[in-house]
Amino acid sequence: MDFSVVIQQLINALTLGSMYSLVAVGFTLFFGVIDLINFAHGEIYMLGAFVGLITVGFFAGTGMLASHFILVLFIVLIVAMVVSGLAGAIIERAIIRPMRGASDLMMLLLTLGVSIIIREGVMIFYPNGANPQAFPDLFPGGSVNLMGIVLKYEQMFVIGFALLMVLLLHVLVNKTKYGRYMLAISQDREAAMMMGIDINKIITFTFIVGSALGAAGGVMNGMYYNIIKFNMGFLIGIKGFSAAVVGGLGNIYGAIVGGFLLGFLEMFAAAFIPGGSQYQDVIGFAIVILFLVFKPSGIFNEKVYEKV
Amino acid sequence: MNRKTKDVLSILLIEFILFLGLLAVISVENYAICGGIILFFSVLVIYLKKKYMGLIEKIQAMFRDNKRIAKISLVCLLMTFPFFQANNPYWIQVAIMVGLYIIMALGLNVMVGNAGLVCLGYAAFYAIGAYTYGILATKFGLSFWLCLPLSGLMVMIFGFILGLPALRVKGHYLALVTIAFGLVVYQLTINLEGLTGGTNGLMNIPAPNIGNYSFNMPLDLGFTRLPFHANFYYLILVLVCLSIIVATRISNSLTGLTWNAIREDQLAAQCYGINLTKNKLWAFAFGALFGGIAGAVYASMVGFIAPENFTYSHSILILSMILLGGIDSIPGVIFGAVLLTIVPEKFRAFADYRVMFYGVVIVSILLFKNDGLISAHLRKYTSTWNLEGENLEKNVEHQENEAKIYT
Repeated sequence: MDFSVVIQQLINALTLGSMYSLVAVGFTLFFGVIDLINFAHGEIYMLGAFVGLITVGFFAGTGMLASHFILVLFIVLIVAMVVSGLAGAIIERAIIRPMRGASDLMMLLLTLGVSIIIREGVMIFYPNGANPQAFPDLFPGGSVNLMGIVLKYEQMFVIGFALLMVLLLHVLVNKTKYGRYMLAISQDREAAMMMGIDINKIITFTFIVGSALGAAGGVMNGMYYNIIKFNMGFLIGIKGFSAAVVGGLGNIYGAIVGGFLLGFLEMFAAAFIPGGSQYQDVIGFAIVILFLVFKPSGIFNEKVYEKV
Repeated sequence: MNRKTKDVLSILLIEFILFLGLLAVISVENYAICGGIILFFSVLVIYLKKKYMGLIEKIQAMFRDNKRIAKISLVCLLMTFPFFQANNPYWIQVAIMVGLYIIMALGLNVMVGNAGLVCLGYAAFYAIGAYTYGILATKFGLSFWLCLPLSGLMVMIFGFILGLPALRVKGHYLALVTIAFGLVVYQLTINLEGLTGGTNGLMNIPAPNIGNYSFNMPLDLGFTRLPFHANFYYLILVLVCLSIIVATRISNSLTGLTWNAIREDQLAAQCYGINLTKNKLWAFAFGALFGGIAGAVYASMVGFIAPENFTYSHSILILSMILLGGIDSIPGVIFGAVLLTIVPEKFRAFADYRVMFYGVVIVSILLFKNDGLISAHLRKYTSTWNLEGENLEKNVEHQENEAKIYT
């Protein structure tokens, strides 16, 4: 096996893993704060990609796409993150908060319903939404060629941006007031309430952060693959959830590691197992099922004891 | 005229009016008139409810007292349905789909409702049932009546296979495992081209036959000819009746009670000596069985199956049926299946909004009435022994106390 091919696949896997990580972080944040699996999170990712596409549309005629692409890129990212963050906040405020305290099954089905509404809403209300939409190249198409390994600028940007987001999240959680509040709530909600933390505000804030990260992943997906579709959120949502589970739900670093791990496994399964590309998704899920059976608490989480 | 005959006559009348209403709703093309009929019925029900206190309870009691007659007359009425639609097989086809969805919803209800095991990949069982029949019939030429139990058996095996990882996980994780299972089966039906025909699907699946009489021939009754769909309609009617009986008996049995205990609190149930492994596996296998039967019948009816017939959104559809009707309530589940199949068919012009409608149904039912339209009632928990003799009076009192206990 050629060594450069392995490195090449490694880079592709890193790119894929960055997107998975950005989604998985959202799942793990929500779970940490209110013990909820938000099945609508994949749709937030898709929503981010579509908002990004609409924003790019504003710049299409002006020629800024060519001259100031960095500026456009950041405007697109920020708009997508803000809009999706707001969407996440609305979901939390309007649908999840009234049902807080309901059984796991109810919450799961509720977020599932929300995800259907968002997905179908985009399909119906986006012009020609049932078909795949072309996402324009936001980045010059060049690449660096290092000893036969092709490293596209886009890939460098995706990986770099994901790492930047992870770093920012780390700072947010560990160094700022709001991050400490989030940690406090995830450890003991009632005690946090007694310490004077406004729980509702922090939970909404968590939803904004998680959804914004997911939306950033969506824009990355759009500019990397140049194609987005209304139903892409479903699979990525399941994969993000799987990544969060593999890493250990509730642990942010676990989610990031899980995302990259899933990316590697899928990429290498597709590349090095004969006929593997057909079964790319299946292999990912098979591994997750194995993980759930043999180590349900994930890589980084300690054992949770159950009480009657 | 004594009270009994009066009751029976009024039951027949009520059922007849409802049946006529249903026929009117499906045969009127105009949306305005159709909406008017539905509005009229709803207003009538609300008016009667307001005007006469306790009328609904009275009617319920009446149906409860004359259960057998009510059921038999309902089945007889439903048997006349193809005669009204003899020129237009479309609605017979829809009625068959209603039947299939009732069977599947009952099956999913065994998992989600009785045992509380979330399953978001139920369409996989439907697919396995359909493909088992399709492959056995086209490649080996086996007859439908042999394949039906074989499909059931195959699906039960897959139910066990899904159940094995599901034993270790619960809640969100179980949802993930079942979604993954659904996707894996979907991918396999696409990728195993030699066996399943890939994305092109499996064609020319034979219809069932009795002797020389194939179910694909029009049903000739001497005085009238019914389209061939009527054959499948009667087959489905029999299967639906069987499934309802089986599902009711399971959920009323000790097994059903055990499943309910697992649903409420797994650990507490285990402390009472319930064998979790055995019961959970059986819940999966039993629930899956219904889906497999429905799949085999579907494959034999349409004669062509493709992976697109068994996607994730079908799983969601069946789930929204049992949510709408009421989890763990068998009449509710049936009602949900009927409603969610007929309404989208009626409003076919808005087919784009169909899945959106399911989503809105799920969210609004959970937000506003999360035990469904016909919610499950309390389990009547009585001991059957020691009923005769001197203990009778004491026992009745005892039963009344116990009936108040929630399941």
